Amino acid sequence: MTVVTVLLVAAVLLGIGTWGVLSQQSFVMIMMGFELAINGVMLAAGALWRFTSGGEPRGQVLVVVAMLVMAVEAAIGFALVVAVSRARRADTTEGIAELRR
Amino acid sequence: MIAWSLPLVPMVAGLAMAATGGRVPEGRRRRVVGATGVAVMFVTLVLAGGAVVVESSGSHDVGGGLALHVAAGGLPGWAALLVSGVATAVVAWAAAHEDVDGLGSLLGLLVAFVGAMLLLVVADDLVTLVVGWELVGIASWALIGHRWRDPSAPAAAAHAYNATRFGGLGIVLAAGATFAATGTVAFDAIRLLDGAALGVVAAGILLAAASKSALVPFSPWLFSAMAGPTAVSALLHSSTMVAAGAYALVRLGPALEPVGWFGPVAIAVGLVTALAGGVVALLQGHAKKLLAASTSAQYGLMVVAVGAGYPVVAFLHLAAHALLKAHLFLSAGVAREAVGSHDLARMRLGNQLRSTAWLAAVAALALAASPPLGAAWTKEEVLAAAAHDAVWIGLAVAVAGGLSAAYATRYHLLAFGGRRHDGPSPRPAPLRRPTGVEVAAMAALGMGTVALSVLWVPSVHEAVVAGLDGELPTPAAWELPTSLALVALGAYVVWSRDRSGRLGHVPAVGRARALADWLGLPTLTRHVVVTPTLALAHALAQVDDRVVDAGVRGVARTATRVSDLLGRRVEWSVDRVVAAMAGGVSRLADVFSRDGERAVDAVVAGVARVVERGGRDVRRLQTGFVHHQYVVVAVGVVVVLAAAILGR
Amino acid sequence: MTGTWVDIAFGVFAVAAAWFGWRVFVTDSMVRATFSLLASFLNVGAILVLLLAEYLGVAMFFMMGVEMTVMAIYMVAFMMNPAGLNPMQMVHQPRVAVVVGVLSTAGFGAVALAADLDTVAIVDPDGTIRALGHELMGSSMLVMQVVGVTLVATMVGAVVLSAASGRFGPADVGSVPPAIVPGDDTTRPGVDVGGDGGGHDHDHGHGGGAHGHDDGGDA
Repeated sequence: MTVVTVLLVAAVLLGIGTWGVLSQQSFVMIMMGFELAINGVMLAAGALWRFTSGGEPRGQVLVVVAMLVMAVEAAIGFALVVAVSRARRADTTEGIAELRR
Repeated sequence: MIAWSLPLVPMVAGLAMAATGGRVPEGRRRRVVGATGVAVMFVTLVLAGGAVVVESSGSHDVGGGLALHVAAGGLPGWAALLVSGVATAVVAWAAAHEDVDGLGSLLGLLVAFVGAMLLLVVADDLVTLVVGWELVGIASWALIGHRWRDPSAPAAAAHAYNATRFGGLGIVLAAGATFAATGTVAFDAIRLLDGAALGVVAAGILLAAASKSALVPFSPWLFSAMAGPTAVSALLHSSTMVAAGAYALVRLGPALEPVGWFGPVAIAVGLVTALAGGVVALLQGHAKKLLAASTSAQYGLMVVAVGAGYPVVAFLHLAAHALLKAHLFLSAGVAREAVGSHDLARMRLGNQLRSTAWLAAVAALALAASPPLGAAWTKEEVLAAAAHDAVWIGLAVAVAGGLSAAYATRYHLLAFGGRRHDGPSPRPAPLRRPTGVEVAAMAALGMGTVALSVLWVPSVHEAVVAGLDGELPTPAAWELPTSLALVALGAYVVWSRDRSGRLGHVPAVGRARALADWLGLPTLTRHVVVTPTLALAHALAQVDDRVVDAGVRGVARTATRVSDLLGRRVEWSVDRVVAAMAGGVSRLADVFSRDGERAVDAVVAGVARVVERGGRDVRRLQTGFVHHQYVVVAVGVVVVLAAAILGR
Repeated sequence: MTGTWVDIAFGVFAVAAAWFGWRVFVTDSMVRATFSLLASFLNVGAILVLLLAEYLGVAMFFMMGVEMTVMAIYMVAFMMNPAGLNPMQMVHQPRVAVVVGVLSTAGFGAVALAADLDTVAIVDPDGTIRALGHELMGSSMLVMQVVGVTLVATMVGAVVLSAASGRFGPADVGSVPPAIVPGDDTTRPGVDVGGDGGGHDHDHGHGGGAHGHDDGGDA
C-alpha cells in the first residue's frame, strides 16, 4: 500500500463513476455515478493525507468537505429528480431538452 | 585464429556443399547434405563459443596500405554465438523441411550466408565490414532467388539486392571519409574524427543500417524477400542480413554520438518504422509478410535504443528478437505446408497441429512482450531508454509495444487459433505434418526464448550488461504499468475482434490493401524515384540529341540574326521599349484596381463564412441533453490534466 | 497488523471496491445496483481505516448505510424493474462513455504516476482522531460552521424543490402553458405521454399530497 497504488485505485473508481454518469439514462443512476466518482476523490484525499502530510488534521477536513459535497449532491439531486418527474413526467436525460439552443 | 576461422569455415564449407550437393543421389541427399550442413554449423557454434571465452584477433595485409582486421570477444563474440546458434536450428529445420530438389545449393548457400554474416560480425575495420556487408547481400540475392524457375523470384531478389546495395554505399562513403581524414579505416579511428568528416560517417552508416534493417523508407524490400524459401526468411529476419544494420549501429553508434543530429534522426527513423510496421502488420493477410512487417517494427525499436544512447539494450533486444522471429518464421513455414498457401484466412491450425501451435505460442507471447519472457524485459529497457530522452518518445515506444502485442496476437490466432464455430467444418487434414527434426529445431529456439527470461533477475541482467561494457537506463515508475496496460489492451482488442468473428477478414481491395503493402511506400518509390530516374535518363538522351546538336546549328543562325538586328536603327527600338513599358504599367494598374478589390472582398467573405460555420457547429453542441454536456466537461478535465503533466 | 497484512487487506478491499463499483452499472436490478454501490463505499471506508483515518472510515460506514437505503427507496419509486426480473439496458452513448471513462482513468492514473510525491510518516499515528476533533472544533471551526449551514440550506432547498404544492398553489405554475379550457390538465407536458418505456408506475398524482421526504437527514 503506497500512495501511488491508492491513487490508482481512486483513479479507477473515478473512471468507473465517469463511465456510469455518461452512459446511464436514468437520473438516479447518473447520481450513483457521481457518488462513485466523489468516492474516488475522497479516497485520493485520504491517501494524500496519510502519506504526504505527516498527520496534519486539516487533510482530513478536506475529506469531510468532500463528504459534504456528496451529501448536498444527493439531497438536492433527488429533490430535482422529484421536481422534474412531477413537472415533466421525465426520469431520463432524454426526457428534458429545454436547454436546446 | 578463431576470429578468422569463424567466418571462413562456414563460407568455404558452404560453397563446397553448394557445388557438390547436387551430385548426391536424391534418395540420400536430404540425409547426407543435411548432416553435413548441421555438422558445419555445429563446428561454427563451438568456435563461436570459443570466441566468447577467448579474445582473439587477426589481420590480413591486402596491399596498397590496406589490411583487413577482425576481432572476436566481448560483444562480437556474443553476436557470433547468437548468429551461429540460431543458424544451426534453422539449417537443421531446412534440411528436414525444404524441397529435396536443389537442397544442396540451398543449404550450402545458407551456410555460406552465415559465414558472410560472421565476417561482418567479427569485422574490426570499415573495409572488412564492407566486404562482409556485400557478401551478405550477394548471398541473400542468391537465396531469395532460389526458386529461379518462378519468374517473380529473380525480380524480387533484384529488388532486395538493389535496395540494400544502395544503402551499402553509405558504408563505403563512411570508410572513404574515415580513410581520408585519418589514413586508416579501423573502427577506433572513427573516434578521432570530428566536424564534417564525422557527420559524413554518421550519415553513411545510418543510411546503410536503415537499408539493411528495412527501416522506413527502405522497408518494402523485406516483402520482396518473402519470395525466398521459408528457411531463408527465418535466417534473414532473425540473426543475419536484417540484423546486420542494427548490429553495425550497435557497434559504431557510441562513436557517432558527438554528431548532434545522429541521435534524434535515428530515434525519428526508428519510431516511424516501429509505428508504421505495426500498422502494416495489423493489416497484412500474408503470414510471412505480417512477420516481415513486425521485423521492421522491432528493428525500429532497436534503432530508437541506439539513438537514445543505449546500444547494449538494442543488442539484447536484437538477441531476444532473433530467437523468437526465427521460431515464428519456421512455424509459418509449417503452417504454409499444411494448407498450401500463405493466406492467413485459411489457416487456424490449432486443432490440427497442436505441438507446433503450442511452440509458436511461446514465440508469439515473446513478440507480444509479455512477462516473464526475456523479450519483454528488453522491450521495457528500450522503453526506458527512449523515455530517458523524452517522455513522449517513451509513450510512442509504449504504443508501438501495444501494436506489437496486437499483431502477435493476430498472427497466432489466425495461424494457430482454434477452429471457429462458424468456420467450414470439418477441416481437411493438413497436407503435411512437421517431422521430428523440424519440431526439435523449433523447440530449441523456443527454449532459447524461455531461457532469456532470466534477464528479469536483477543480478543476471546487471552481470550481462557489465560483461558487454554497457549501461542500463533507470526506469521511471510510470513506464512498466503503462506499457503493460498497452500490451494488454492491444492483445485484448485483437482477441475481442476475433471473438466477434471480424479478425479473419483480410482487406482485399481499396485503401486498406494499399496500407497493408507498406502504406503505399512501393508505389511512392516507383513514382518518386524509379519513374523520375528513367524520365531523367530519357530527357538527358533527348538533350544530347536535340540541344547539343541543335546548339551547334543554332549558334550559326543566332550569329546571322544578331548581325541583322545590329544593322537596324537603334532609335526605333528605344521608342518601342518606352511605349511597351507605359502600356505595361497602365495594364498593371487596371489589374490592381479590378482584381485587388475582388481578392480583398473574397477574403472578407471567406472569414465571415468560416465564422458563421463555426458558430453553427458550436450551436450543434447545445443539444440540451445533460449527458452530452457531461462528456464535454469530462474531456475538458482530461485535456487540462494532460496539459499540466506534459507541460511540466 | 503488520505491513504485509495491511497490503493484502488493501488489495482485497481495492479490488472489491472497483468490482462493486463496476457492478452498479451492469446489473439489471436497481436494488442490487444500490447495494453494490453501498458495498463499494464500505470497501473504500475500510481502506480509509487502513489509511489510519479511522474517524472518516467509520463515518463513511454510517453515512453510506443511511444514504444508500434512501437511494434504494428512490430506485424502487422512480425506476422500473427494481428486482431485476427482466433483462434491461437503459444506456445511451455507450462507446463515448467507455472511451471517456478510460481516458479519465488514464489521465488521473498518469497524474498519480507522474507526480513526484515524497512520503512523510505520520507524526502521531495513535492520536489522529483526537487531532481531527481538536481541528474541527478549534481552528477549522469556520469550515464546520459552513458545513452545518450548508446542510440546513440543503434541507430547506430539497423540501422546497420537491414539494408538490408551494405556498401559493402548485409548484410548477408558470412553467406550463396555460390550459385552453380552464381546469383542463391535458396541455401539461408529459401527461398523455405516459413515460417512455412503458411499465412506469408513477404514483405522483397532480396536486396530490405533498410527498415530503427527508434526504437532507442523511448527512
